[in-house]
Amino acid sequence: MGNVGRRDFLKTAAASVAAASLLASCQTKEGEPLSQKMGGVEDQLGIEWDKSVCRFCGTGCGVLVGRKNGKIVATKGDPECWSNKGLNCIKGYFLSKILYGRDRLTKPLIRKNGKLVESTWDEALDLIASKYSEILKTHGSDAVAMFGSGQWTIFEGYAALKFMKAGLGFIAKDGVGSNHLDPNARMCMASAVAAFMRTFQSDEPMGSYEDIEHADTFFTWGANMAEMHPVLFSRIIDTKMKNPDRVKIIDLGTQYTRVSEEADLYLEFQPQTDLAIANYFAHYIIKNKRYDKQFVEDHLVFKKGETNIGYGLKDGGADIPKTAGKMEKITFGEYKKFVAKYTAKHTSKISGVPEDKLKQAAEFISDPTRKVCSYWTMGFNQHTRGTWVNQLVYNIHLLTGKISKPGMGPFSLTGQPSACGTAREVGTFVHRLPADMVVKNEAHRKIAADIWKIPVEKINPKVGLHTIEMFRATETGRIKILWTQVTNPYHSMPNLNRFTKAAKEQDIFIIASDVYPTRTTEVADVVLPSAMWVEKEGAYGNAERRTQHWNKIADSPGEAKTEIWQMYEVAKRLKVDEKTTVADIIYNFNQDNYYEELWEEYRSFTLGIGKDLAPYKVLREKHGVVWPYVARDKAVNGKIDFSDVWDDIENTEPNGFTSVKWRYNSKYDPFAARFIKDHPERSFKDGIVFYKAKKNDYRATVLAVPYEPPGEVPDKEYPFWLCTGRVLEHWHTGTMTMRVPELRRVMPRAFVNFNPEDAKKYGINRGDLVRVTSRRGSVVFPADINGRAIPQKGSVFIPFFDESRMVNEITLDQYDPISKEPDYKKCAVKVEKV
Amino acid sequence: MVISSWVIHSSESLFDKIKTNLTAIPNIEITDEQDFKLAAVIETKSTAEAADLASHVRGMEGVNGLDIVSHFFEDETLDKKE
Repeated sequence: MGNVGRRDFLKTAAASVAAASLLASCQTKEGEPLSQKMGGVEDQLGIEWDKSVCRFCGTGCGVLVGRKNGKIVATKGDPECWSNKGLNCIKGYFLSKILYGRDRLTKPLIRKNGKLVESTWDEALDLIASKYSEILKTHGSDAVAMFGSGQWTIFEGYAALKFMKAGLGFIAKDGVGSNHLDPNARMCMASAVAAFMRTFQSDEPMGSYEDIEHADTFFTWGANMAEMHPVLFSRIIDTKMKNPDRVKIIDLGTQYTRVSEEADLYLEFQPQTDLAIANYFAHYIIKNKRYDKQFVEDHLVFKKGETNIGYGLKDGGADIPKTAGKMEKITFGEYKKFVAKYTAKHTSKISGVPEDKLKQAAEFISDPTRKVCSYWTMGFNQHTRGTWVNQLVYNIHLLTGKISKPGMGPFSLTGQPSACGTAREVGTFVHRLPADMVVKNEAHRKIAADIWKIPVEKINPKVGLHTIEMFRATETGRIKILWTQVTNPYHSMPNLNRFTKAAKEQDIFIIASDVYPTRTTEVADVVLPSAMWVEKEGAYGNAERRTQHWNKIADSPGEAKTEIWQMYEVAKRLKVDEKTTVADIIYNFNQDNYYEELWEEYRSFTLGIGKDLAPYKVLREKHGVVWPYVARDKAVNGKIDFSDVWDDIENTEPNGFTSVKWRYNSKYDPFAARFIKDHPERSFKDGIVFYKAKKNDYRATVLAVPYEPPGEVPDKEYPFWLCTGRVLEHWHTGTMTMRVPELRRVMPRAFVNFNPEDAKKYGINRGDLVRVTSRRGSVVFPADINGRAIPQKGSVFIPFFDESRMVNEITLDQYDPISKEPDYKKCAVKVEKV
Repeated sequence: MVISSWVIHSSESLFDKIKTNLTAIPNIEITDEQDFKLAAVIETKSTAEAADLASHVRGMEGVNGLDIVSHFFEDETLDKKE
């Protein structure tokens, strides 16, 4: 085909998929026929298409990947994936380019005489296995840690969980596995997890992205969705454009962003005072009798939380009271009295938000005719009171009954593509097992042991060291072997210098599995080259409970291998006795298709408990499946018969399954319908039941906790707040996006962003070099003023992607005592022009 | 040659102006519209040029959002012989 003919073909193809995307936004039901499916007219150009998922952020956009002659030649937003309805953000331009950076790791490396040198796989794996054997036999499983990722595929996370929690106990001198397994998702959404568990006794949101099309009022709390979750923000804008007079966006934040620009109302608050504002909204709702009396009576329980719970600033959490997570039952009247002190005047004084703006926002959120959705991300989660602030927003939705219904609900957005699927659902945390189960619970350990076919004694009942304490334990020599996979902690940890120093000076053996050289590979003793994204079969679980599977589409370079293969090969070298290896016990799968066996074993944890995942064959076929994916018949799901309630459920599929878009609502959720039928005393007019909250008589918890300041606040010596975060072009520590020349050209280095008035006061102009100093160190950044975002007076913003000037050398390792998630959004710094 | 397509989200008041301004850019062809959204096809020499153009359009007054729908970059990936 000639170039002109090909051009015309491609243009026709591009135009037709764009037109289909315009139409897709009008569709109201997932699964409706689409004019553009996987292929299209461009099939005639010899392009083969397969489905995948975007590698960045937690939105979980479906992507169609086009391959020709074994190479990726095209990508399209997947119109059959309901998370993004055929749209990708600008990062979609560079998705495939992240595979092709010039310095991809292609061979294993071993540190010899201080330098990393190439080795064979056998040499690297033998060395790793010998270290594991030696340390486990000498020191036991307490000396062994793994730091994983919300970018792990679900398969990888599950394999790692088995390696640590089931496998190592067979050779450790103490005879138990290690729970020192935490994902970088600890730094991303652990606060959301803790709050979901404390409120509903089940993790993850009740609603879905589909709420965006049903809602008319959007509250964004410290979330710059326009740049960090652009496709979802496009959906919000789309909803607003269809009904501009009715639909309102209310943005609450500590800096003015593109979301603020599009908002109908912007509330700029002092860092950490979101706690006071949320309590004010609750007060306003009760005072003005805007609460849903029936919902309160039927579905809620009120509790008071412990206060003055510390900041985790002392090693081992010595400044955290043992009762930090305690909640005591109170009455509605006591709760009403508690929030009554958060008047508009008092809240304005704490937060800096004018009283009239507080009242306007409260009016929108409490208006009984409005369908309200609340969105947040790291602003809430990376917060020394992150669990509290998550719960305080649930309070608002619970008091008004705006929850578990289309267009209404609180929604924690995630920052990584599988923070939900791999970290939360698989349970790759120090305290967890799959499907919300915990190691402390004997019955849970028994379930896991039965599925894994190991003695229950092999599963360690003691909760492991969470991320911050795990890295602090590298300073003391307690942790002697650390394997990092798909993550870069020696760039992303707060108060970084102390941990990097420990890695260099302590006797600790570090293994880093990654795709590019990073700050972590720099301190590693062994570096293993990994396959990434579509170079391997995988599955991610996104923020709306959607599991998405993809096949291997491209080859990995050189000798790069998957993390599953790496763990299997190490497990194969760990001998339990003459005849048996750890791999024989934990990875005893048919090696021709171990993905299916791994998946089905993992899936068995989830069935019949409202966390039900789709079968492997369904996942391969569909463009994402939202869980719980419930089978009507007991013969299929193996646990519960839903046939007598099935006809009342909306959105059921002809195959006898349904994907639940709104949990706890018996109109959509068969578990809620089943529960109500079996417990008529919990049957109410609205059809809602929080059936997982057994400990609270199936009621959701409304929590009374106050505003408390963070662990470090500006003072005379360090007068500025420091907030860190991402930028549109770069993702996390920049290991992938800094390899894309176009992105590097647009955003080559980190900067310190000033409020224009502060810049004027300090005589700082755009581009000036500025030394930013905290009690932990100094880093020099070029100044930015009037950039895309405007920090409030008295605060600066610095992105963390740039390994040449790492802001985490000056951040503070304070954390939420309940969720153990660090706060990267607040510490005190001073600035001086260099 | 790199061919891509976008959906551009416009404000209601500036929709006509944005359309006119986009039409004036030689690489951009408006192919469809609905609910103050425009579908456009973009022809550039490289992905970098396409991305720069997307950033430029994203920054235009009245543009509320820009999403990528498709991206064909065969010439950047395959050798000419292929």
